[in-house]
Amino acid sequence: MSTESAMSAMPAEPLAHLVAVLQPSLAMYLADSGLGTYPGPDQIRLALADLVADHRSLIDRGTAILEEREVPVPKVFYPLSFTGLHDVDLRHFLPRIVAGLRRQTGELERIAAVADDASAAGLAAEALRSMPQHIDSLEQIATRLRAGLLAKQGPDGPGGSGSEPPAAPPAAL
Amino acid sequence: MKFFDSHCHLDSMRYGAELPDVLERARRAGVSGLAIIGTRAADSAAAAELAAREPGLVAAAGIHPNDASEAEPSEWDQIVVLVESGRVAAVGETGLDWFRTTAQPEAQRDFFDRHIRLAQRAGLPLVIHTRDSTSDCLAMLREANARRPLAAILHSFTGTVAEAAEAVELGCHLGFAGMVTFRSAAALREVAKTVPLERLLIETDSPFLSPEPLRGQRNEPANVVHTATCLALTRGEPLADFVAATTANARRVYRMAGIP
Repeated sequence: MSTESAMSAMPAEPLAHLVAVLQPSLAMYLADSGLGTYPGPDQIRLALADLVADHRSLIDRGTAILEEREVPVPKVFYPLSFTGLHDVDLRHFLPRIVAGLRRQTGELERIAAVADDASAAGLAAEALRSMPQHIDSLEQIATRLRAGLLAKQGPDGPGGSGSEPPAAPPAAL
Repeated sequence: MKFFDSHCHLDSMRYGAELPDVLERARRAGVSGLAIIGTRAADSAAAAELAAREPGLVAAAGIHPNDASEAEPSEWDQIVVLVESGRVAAVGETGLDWFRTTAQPEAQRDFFDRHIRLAQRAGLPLVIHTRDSTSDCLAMLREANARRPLAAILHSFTGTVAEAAEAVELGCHLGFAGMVTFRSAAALREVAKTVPLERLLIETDSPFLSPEPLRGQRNEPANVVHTATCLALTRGEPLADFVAATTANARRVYRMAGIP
């Protein structure tokens, strides 16, 4: 299941919709499976940690309100394709994450426009306020990477596939 | 119980002086068999040497798809020599990786085809890496199978239920690694449930893909126990039966009959 298809089956309830939009993202998956274990520059790790902290806070607050209202909290699973992405250098994820944030922005704008649920509209508006900063931050990192201005860092140890390949042995998965 | 880690990258370049300790910890954990998989000529040769001196180990020789553009022609020649020498039990790691752009697709296809033909010529199983490329790999395998039978292992499998079924129908074995243990990997566990036990393998892909509860640490073959436990539980099979079956599968596919 792709992120796109996950988004096509969104709950009608605006708050549940918001949780279902924010939860199954690639950034959330990377954090959930151990952001510190992926090779790549620390600047990406820090930017993603910021993004995930913001989204997690929104998801938690949205979930708490849904539970208060006794509305079912959507069960959201990550796309199967994410499970093949372990130990890839974080640099390779930047374009996908930014594209995902742009898709989320469209969904959040629709939720924010819902007039009859102030909680959902408020949380969506909050997410929309921070979204351009997160996109901008990741795009700036991508630009600096292209210009060779960021150090090639990552977890100690063997490194993962997708990092700049060492002379020998190569990274593999 | 005797576990078999069907795919790991163990060599002194990755583990340094700790390699003997890593092997000892594997044995203490009950891991009696290991397949050490090469990714370039240098670590393929190292894998063959290690397998020759340690009991229960087999080696595979190949060039990883992400290195297909970098490998010199002489490196491929070394792989061929190693395979034809009879010192390795499999050909690989080969395959296709469409996620990254470090190696040109055409170079990857060319190398994958060479590995397929080499494995067929040598009568050895093929160890395959796929990422965003399972259907393309299966198409090439189907074509190869039409020429001559080929035993293949799709390692660290993360394809769909339909792709798993197609791979099984083609006669492939499917290896599951540490990510199947992650809380967020419910979809992959659902896929693992559908694979016939006689086609299932367990692996660590060390030093990558540490399973829960060891995420973030360098992986090693002893940790295959966690993946086996998770898969047996997911599939509702007694752990001892599951481990016995996956070990028998690995020994069969790596042609270890008669080797203690």
